[in-house]
Amino acid sequence: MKNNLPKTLVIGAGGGHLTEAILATKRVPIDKIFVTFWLPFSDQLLKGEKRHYVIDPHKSPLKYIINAFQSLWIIALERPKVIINTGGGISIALSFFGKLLGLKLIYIESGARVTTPSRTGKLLYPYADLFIVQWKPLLEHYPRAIYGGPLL
Amino acid sequence: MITVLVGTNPYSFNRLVSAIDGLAEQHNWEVFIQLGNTKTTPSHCLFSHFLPKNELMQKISQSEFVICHGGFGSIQDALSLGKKVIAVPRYPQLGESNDYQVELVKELEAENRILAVYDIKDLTETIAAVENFDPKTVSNNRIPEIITEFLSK
Repeated sequence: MKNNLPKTLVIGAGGGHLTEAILATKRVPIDKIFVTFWLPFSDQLLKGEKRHYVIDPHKSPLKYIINAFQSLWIIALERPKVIINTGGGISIALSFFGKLLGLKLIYIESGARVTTPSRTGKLLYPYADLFIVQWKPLLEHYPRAIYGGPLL
Repeated sequence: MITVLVGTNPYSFNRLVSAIDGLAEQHNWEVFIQLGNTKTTPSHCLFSHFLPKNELMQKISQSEFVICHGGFGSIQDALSLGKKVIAVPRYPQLGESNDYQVELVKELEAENRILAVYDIKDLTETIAAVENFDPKTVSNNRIPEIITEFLSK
Protein backbone atom coordinates (compact mmCIF):
# COMPACT_ATOMS: atom_id res chain seq x y z
CA MET A 1 0.00 0.00 0.00
CA LYS A 2 2.78 2.39 0.97
CA ASN A 3 4.24 2.12 -2.53
CA ASN A 4 1.57 4.41 -3.99
CA LEU A 5 2.42 7.21 -1.60
CA PRO A 6 5.04 9.80 -2.57
CA LYS A 7 8.39 9.00 -0.99
CA THR A 8 9.20 11.96 1.23
CA LEU A 9 12.28 12.98 3.18
CA VAL A 10 11.17 14.75 6.36
CA ILE A 11 14.11 16.73 7.74
CA GLY A 12 14.55 18.82 10.88
CA ALA A 13 17.30 19.50 13.43
CA GLY A 14 17.37 17.29 16.53
CA GLY A 15 15.32 19.03 19.24
CA GLY A 16 12.16 21.09 18.76
CA HIS A 17 12.52 21.08 14.96
CA LEU A 18 12.16 17.29 14.89
CA THR A 19 9.10 17.43 17.13
CA GLU A 20 7.64 19.95 14.67
CA ALA A 21 8.47 17.67 11.72
CA ILE A 22 6.65 14.76 13.38
CA LEU A 23 3.60 16.88 14.20
CA ALA A 24 3.46 18.58 10.79
CA THR A 25 3.39 15.23 8.94
CA LYS A 26 0.97 13.43 11.25
CA ARG A 27 -1.63 11.62 9.11
CA VAL A 28 -0.24 13.19 5.93
CA PRO A 29 -0.47 10.46 3.26
CA ILE A 30 3.21 10.12 2.36
CA ASP A 31 5.87 7.43 2.59
CA LYS A 32 7.96 9.12 5.30
CA ILE A 33 11.70 8.86 5.82
CA PHE A 34 13.03 11.08 8.59
CA VAL A 35 16.43 12.81 8.38
CA THR A 36 17.81 14.40 11.54
CA PHE A 37 20.89 14.33 13.74
CA TRP A 38 21.30 11.83 16.49
CA LEU A 39 20.41 12.79 20.06
CA PRO A 40 19.97 10.45 23.01
CA PHE A 41 16.21 10.30 22.50
CA SER A 42 16.03 10.33 18.69
CA ASP A 43 15.71 6.57 18.24
CA GLN A 44 12.83 6.43 20.62
CA LEU A 45 11.07 9.48 19.23
CA LEU A 46 11.28 7.95 15.75
CA LYS A 47 10.55 4.40 16.81
CA GLY A 48 8.98 2.48 13.94
CA GLU A 49 9.86 5.21 11.43
CA LYS A 50 12.42 4.93 8.65
CA ARG A 51 15.26 7.33 9.41
CA HIS A 52 18.75 8.49 8.51
CA TYR A 53 21.09 10.41 10.77
CA VAL A 54 23.36 13.13 9.41
CA ILE A 55 25.93 15.34 11.10
CA ASP A 56 24.83 18.62 12.69
CA PRO A 57 26.95 21.29 10.98
CA HIS A 58 26.24 23.87 13.72
CA LYS A 59 28.83 26.50 12.71
CA SER A 60 31.61 24.40 11.22
CA PRO A 61 32.35 24.66 7.45
CA LEU A 62 33.92 21.20 7.43
CA LYS A 63 30.80 19.70 8.99
CA TYR A 64 28.69 21.46 6.34
CA ILE A 65 30.71 19.62 3.69
CA ILE A 66 30.28 16.27 5.43
CA ASN A 67 26.55 16.99 5.83
CA ALA A 68 26.33 17.77 2.09
CA PHE A 69 27.87 14.42 1.12
CA GLN A 70 25.56 12.58 3.52
CA SER A 71 22.55 14.44 2.10
CA LEU A 72 23.45 13.57 -1.47
CA TRP A 73 23.93 9.93 -0.47
CA ILE A 74 20.49 9.80 1.17
CA ILE A 75 18.82 11.25 -1.94
CA ALA A 76 20.65 8.75 -4.18
CA LEU A 77 19.67 5.88 -1.91
CA GLU A 78 16.03 6.77 -1.31
CA ARG A 79 15.03 8.52 -4.58
CA PRO A 80 12.39 10.70 -2.89
CA LYS A 81 9.83 12.89 -4.68
CA VAL A 82 9.27 15.43 -1.90
CA ILE A 83 11.22 17.09 0.93
CA ILE A 84 9.40 18.43 3.97
CA ASN A 85 11.72 20.65 5.98
CA THR A 86 11.31 22.19 9.44
CA GLY A 87 14.70 23.82 9.38
CA GLY A 88 18.02 24.13 11.04
CA GLY A 89 21.41 24.31 9.28
CA ILE A 90 21.24 20.53 8.97
CA SER A 91 18.62 20.86 6.20
CA ILE A 92 20.27 23.37 3.84
CA ALA A 93 22.38 21.02 1.69
CA LEU A 94 19.62 18.42 1.38
CA SER A 95 17.13 21.07 0.27
CA PHE A 96 19.42 22.54 -2.40
CA PHE A 97 20.33 19.12 -3.81
CA GLY A 98 16.65 18.21 -3.78
CA LYS A 99 15.68 21.30 -5.75
CA LEU A 100 18.49 20.72 -8.26
CA LEU A 101 17.15 17.22 -8.83
CA GLY A 102 13.57 18.42 -9.29
CA LEU A 103 12.05 17.38 -5.95
CA LYS A 104 9.21 19.36 -4.43
CA LEU A 105 10.31 21.37 -1.40
CA ILE A 106 7.90 22.13 1.43
CA TYR A 107 9.35 24.37 4.13
CA ILE A 108 7.76 24.99 7.52
CA GLU A 109 9.26 27.91 9.42
CA SER A 110 9.92 26.95 13.04
CA GLY A 111 7.19 27.79 15.53
CA ALA A 112 9.91 29.36 17.65
CA ARG A 113 9.94 32.19 15.08
CA VAL A 114 7.11 34.62 15.65
CA THR A 115 8.29 37.95 14.25
CA THR A 116 11.78 37.43 12.85
CA PRO A 117 12.56 34.96 10.06
CA SER A 118 15.17 32.25 10.60
CA ARG A 119 18.44 32.14 8.66
CA THR A 120 17.52 28.83 7.01
CA GLY A 121 14.00 30.04 6.25
CA LYS A 122 15.25 33.20 4.53
CA LEU A 123 17.78 31.20 2.54
CA LEU A 124 15.28 28.61 1.31
CA TYR A 125 12.21 30.83 0.86
CA PRO A 126 12.89 31.58 -2.85
CA TYR A 127 13.21 27.85 -3.61
CA ALA A 128 10.32 26.38 -1.63
CA ASP A 129 7.27 25.18 -3.59
CA LEU A 130 5.17 25.54 -0.46
CA PHE A 131 6.26 27.74 2.44
CA ILE A 132 4.27 27.55 5.67
CA VAL A 133 4.53 29.89 8.68
CA GLN A 134 3.13 29.21 12.14
CA TRP A 135 2.65 32.85 13.16
CA LYS A 136 0.98 35.65 11.20
CA PRO A 137 3.59 38.41 11.75
CA LEU A 138 5.98 36.40 9.54
CA LEU A 139 3.74 36.85 6.48
CA GLU A 140 5.25 40.32 6.25
CA HIS A 141 8.68 38.78 5.61
CA TYR A 142 7.37 35.89 3.50
CA PRO A 143 4.51 37.32 1.39
CA ARG A 144 3.76 34.14 -0.56
CA ALA A 145 3.83 31.92 2.53
CA ILE A 146 0.73 30.20 3.85
CA TYR A 147 -0.34 30.64 7.47
CA GLY A 148 -0.77 27.25 9.13
CA GLY A 149 -1.11 28.09 12.81
CA PRO A 150 1.31 26.95 15.55
CA LEU A 151 2.03 23.23 16.01
CA LEU A 152 1.26 23.59 19.70
CA MET B 1 6.09 17.02 41.83
CA ILE B 2 7.36 19.74 39.48
CA THR B 3 9.20 18.84 36.28
CA VAL B 4 11.78 21.24 34.86
CA LEU B 5 12.89 21.01 31.22
CA VAL B 6 15.76 22.87 29.57
CA GLY B 7 15.55 21.05 26.25
CA THR B 8 18.26 19.82 23.93
CA ASN B 9 19.87 23.24 23.43
CA PRO B 10 23.68 22.82 23.29
CA TYR B 11 24.18 25.74 25.70
CA SER B 12 24.12 25.54 29.52
CA PHE B 13 21.19 27.14 31.36
CA ASN B 14 22.62 27.54 34.87
CA ARG B 15 20.45 30.52 35.78
CA LEU B 16 17.22 28.50 35.79
CA VAL B 17 18.67 25.37 37.38
CA SER B 18 20.29 27.29 40.26
CA ALA B 19 17.11 29.25 40.94
CA ILE B 20 15.00 26.09 40.99
CA ASP B 21 17.48 24.31 43.22
CA GLY B 22 17.33 27.19 45.71
CA LEU B 23 13.54 27.16 45.77
CA ALA B 24 13.40 23.37 46.11
CA GLU B 25 15.65 23.57 49.17
CA GLN B 26 13.75 26.49 50.70
CA HIS B 27 10.25 25.01 50.24
CA ASN B 28 11.16 21.35 50.39
CA TRP B 29 9.59 20.74 46.97
CA GLU B 30 9.90 17.55 45.00
CA VAL B 31 11.47 18.57 41.71
CA PHE B 32 12.78 16.60 38.75
CA ILE B 33 15.07 18.39 36.27
CA GLN B 34 16.04 17.14 32.84
CA LEU B 35 19.37 18.96 32.62
CA GLY B 36 20.25 18.36 28.97
CA ASN B 37 23.55 20.14 28.34
CA THR B 38 23.38 22.31 31.45
CA LYS B 39 26.57 22.05 33.50
CA THR B 40 25.28 23.01 36.97
CA THR B 41 23.97 20.01 38.88
CA PRO B 42 21.32 20.62 41.55
CA SER B 43 21.73 19.41 45.13
CA HIS B 44 18.08 19.46 46.17
CA CYS B 45 16.35 18.10 43.07
CA LEU B 46 16.27 14.80 41.29
CA PHE B 47 17.84 15.10 37.86
CA SER B 48 18.95 13.33 34.73
CA HIS B 49 20.79 14.69 31.69
CA PHE B 50 18.66 12.99 29.07
CA LEU B 51 15.82 10.64 29.94
CA PRO B 52 14.31 8.37 27.30
CA LYS B 53 11.34 10.20 25.80
CA ASN B 54 8.65 7.90 27.23
CA GLU B 55 10.11 8.20 30.74
CA LEU B 56 10.26 11.97 30.39
CA MET B 57 6.66 12.13 29.20
CA GLN B 58 5.70 10.00 32.20
CA LYS B 59 7.46 12.43 34.56
CA ILE B 60 5.60 15.31 32.92
CA SER B 61 2.23 13.61 33.26
CA GLN B 62 2.89 12.97 36.96
CA SER B 63 3.75 16.62 37.53
CA GLU B 64 1.55 19.29 38.94
CA PHE B 65 2.94 21.72 36.35
CA VAL B 66 6.05 22.23 34.22
CA ILE B 67 8.74 24.89 34.32
CA CYS B 68 10.79 25.01 31.12
CA HIS B 69 13.07 27.07 28.93
CA GLY B 70 11.47 28.90 26.01
CA GLY B 71 12.10 26.13 23.47
CA PHE B 72 9.39 24.89 21.17
CA GLY B 73 9.91 21.18 21.92
CA SER B 74 9.73 21.48 25.71
CA ILE B 75 6.66 23.72 25.66
CA GLN B 76 5.00 21.39 23.15
CA ASP B 77 5.71 18.30 25.29
CA ALA B 78 4.13 19.90 28.35
CA LEU B 79 1.11 21.37 26.54
CA SER B 80 0.48 18.11 24.68
CA LEU B 81 -0.03 16.44 28.07
CA GLY B 82 -2.35 19.22 29.21
CA LYS B 83 0.07 20.63 31.78
CA LYS B 84 0.29 24.24 32.85
CA VAL B 85 3.58 25.77 31.74
CA ILE B 86 5.87 28.44 33.16
CA ALA B 87 8.42 29.31 30.49
CA VAL B 88 11.72 31.04 31.21
CA PRO B 89 13.39 32.19 27.98
CA ARG B 90 17.13 31.69 27.54
CA TYR B 91 19.06 34.84 26.70
CA PRO B 92 21.77 34.81 24.00
CA GLN B 93 23.38 37.85 25.63
CA LEU B 94 24.01 35.68 28.74
CA GLY B 95 25.46 32.85 26.63
CA GLU B 96 22.43 30.63 27.26
CA SER B 97 21.40 30.10 23.66
CA ASN B 98 22.06 30.87 20.06
CA ASP B 99 18.45 31.86 19.42
CA TYR B 100 16.07 34.34 20.93
CA GLN B 101 13.37 32.44 22.81
CA VAL B 102 11.63 35.58 23.99
CA GLU B 103 9.39 36.01 20.92
CA LEU B 104 7.77 32.60 21.23
CA VAL B 105 7.33 32.95 24.99
CA LYS B 106 5.82 36.44 24.67
CA GLU B 107 3.39 35.34 21.96
CA LEU B 108 2.18 32.28 23.91
CA GLU B 109 1.88 34.38 27.05
CA ALA B 110 -0.17 36.98 25.14
CA GLU B 111 -2.46 34.18 23.92
CA ASN B 112 -2.91 33.08 27.52
CA ARG B 113 -1.51 29.61 26.81
CA ILE B 114 1.44 29.78 29.24
CA LEU B 115 2.90 31.84 32.08
CA ALA B 116 6.27 33.52 31.55
CA VAL B 117 9.23 34.64 33.64
CA TYR B 118 11.60 37.17 32.05
CA ASP B 119 13.54 38.03 35.18
CA ILE B 120 14.46 35.02 37.31
CA LYS B 121 13.63 37.04 40.44
CA ASP B 122 9.95 36.74 39.44
CA LEU B 123 9.99 32.94 39.43
CA THR B 124 8.65 32.49 42.99
CA GLU B 125 5.80 34.88 42.35
CA THR B 126 4.85 33.16 39.09
CA ILE B 127 4.93 29.71 40.69
CA ALA B 128 2.48 31.04 43.27
CA ALA B 129 0.20 32.17 40.42
CA VAL B 130 0.08 28.77 38.68
CA GLU B 131 -2.76 27.43 40.75
CA ASN B 132 -5.19 30.12 39.61
CA PHE B 133 -3.94 30.26 36.03
CA ASP B 134 -6.62 29.21 33.55
CA PRO B 135 -4.87 28.63 30.22
CA LYS B 136 -6.43 28.67 26.79
CA THR B 137 -6.01 25.17 25.39
CA VAL B 138 -7.38 25.34 21.86
CA SER B 139 -4.92 25.07 18.99
CA ASN B 140 -5.76 26.27 15.51
CA ASN B 141 -3.06 24.47 13.58
CA ARG B 142 -3.88 23.00 10.16
CA ILE B 143 -0.42 22.32 8.75
CA PRO B 144 -0.96 18.58 8.01
CA GLU B 145 -4.11 19.51 6.02
CA ILE B 146 -2.27 22.22 4.06
CA ILE B 147 0.50 19.77 3.12
CA THR B 148 -1.97 17.05 2.17
CA GLU B 149 -3.90 19.46 -0.03
CA PHE B 150 -0.72 20.72 -1.70
CA LEU B 151 0.52 17.21 -2.48
CA SER B 152 -2.79 16.07 -3.94
CA LYS B 153 -2.70 18.84 -6.56
